[in-house]
Amino acid sequence: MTSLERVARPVGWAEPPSAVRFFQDAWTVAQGELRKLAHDPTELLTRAVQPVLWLLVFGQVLAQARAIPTGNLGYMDFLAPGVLAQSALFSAIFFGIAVIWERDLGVLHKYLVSPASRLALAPYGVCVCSPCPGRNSSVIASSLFWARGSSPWLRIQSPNAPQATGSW
Amino acid sequence: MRAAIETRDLRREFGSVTAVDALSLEVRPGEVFGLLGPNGAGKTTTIKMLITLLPPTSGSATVAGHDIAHEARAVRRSIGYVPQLLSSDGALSARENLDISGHLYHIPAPERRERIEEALRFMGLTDVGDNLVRTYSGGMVRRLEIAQAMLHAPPVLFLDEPTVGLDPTARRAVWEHVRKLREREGTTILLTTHYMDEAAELCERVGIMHLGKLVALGTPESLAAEVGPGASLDDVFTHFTGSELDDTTAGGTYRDVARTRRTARRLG
Repeated sequence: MTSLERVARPVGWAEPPSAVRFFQDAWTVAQGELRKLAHDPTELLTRAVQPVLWLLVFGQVLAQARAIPTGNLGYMDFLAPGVLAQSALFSAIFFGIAVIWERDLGVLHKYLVSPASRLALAPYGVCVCSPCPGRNSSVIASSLFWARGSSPWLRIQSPNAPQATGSW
Repeated sequence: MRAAIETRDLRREFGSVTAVDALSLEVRPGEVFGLLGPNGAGKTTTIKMLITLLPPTSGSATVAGHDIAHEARAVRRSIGYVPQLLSSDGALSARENLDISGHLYHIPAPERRERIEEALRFMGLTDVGDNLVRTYSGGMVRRLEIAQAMLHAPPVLFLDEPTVGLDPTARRAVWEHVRKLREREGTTILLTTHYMDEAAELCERVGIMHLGKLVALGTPESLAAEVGPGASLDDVFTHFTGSELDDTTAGGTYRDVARTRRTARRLG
């Protein structure tokens, strides 16, 4: 085969329909992130340090001090959604910065040059830059709450519902 | 004859700075073409436009017969790109990195697995294929990156400073693989480099860029002959870019230096 024919030759494989492609590509990128975590699960623990500190140490102390009026709501229930939001936000900021600092910029370029769905590459942003389950400490923070027998999500939906303020 | 890469008056401005100025260039199918020039000459900007990461301000270009502005997806399917920055994920193994590339290019599963093993064999990485990439040497990382870019057998390959930060042995190994790849696949390769010996060694034709303009074009030998008898490509480079005495631009800006050293450090 001459090189001229190579250029004229159609390249690549049958492209899946765009909706299918979106999910395929998104899964590919997410899978990569999950594999990284499988190689180094200690990352989960290091990321959990901050929310655990907030919930178990500072939260505890402030709950005992009763310094902040939270009405019928227990202090920990008041605190939980905030800590969740904070850990999600902070991970987003720090991983976003990692991309800007060119730590991962080469990888991002490689993805962008591929024919993968641009929209699906957003999960690269979602996974790396924000609260994707595998990579984020908010999962740990919320499981702490479930372990305690109260769901932070339920409280968000009904902040005024009277309930027994559980003590830790 | 249909060109593998063709640009017509390609131009890119960043604010008041013209990074690439009226670049008209033709790269023949199967050719290894070197784009030379000092830092800030517009080499990387040119490549970024050709691989559809950056829209040109004006002018047009085709890559493998597809227009970069109107057929971006077709262009992406037909090219491989190895960025200057590290593009393999250090926290994954070589196989996993290749697997992600294979998926992103929608290579069907049986063929994907076959190609991954073949790519590892070709690049001499079979034994270490399951090790994390961050344990690799700089030369191995570059070879893996090239393998990733070549997994879908694109007819056109872009290498942006493929040997930056590598020691001479690793550089030779990378050259060797680029040459073998080209022989085996007939791939058209456009590479940028600062190193004149690299261009002389690998490229059939070189274009020298300076301040966004193409100032010289030809085979390494013809350019050397143009400058004078016994001139090396280094002399050619200095002759056309005149950067020898101009200390304010030589060696790039602080940002360029920081970036190059960072890349070099990561490649180990």
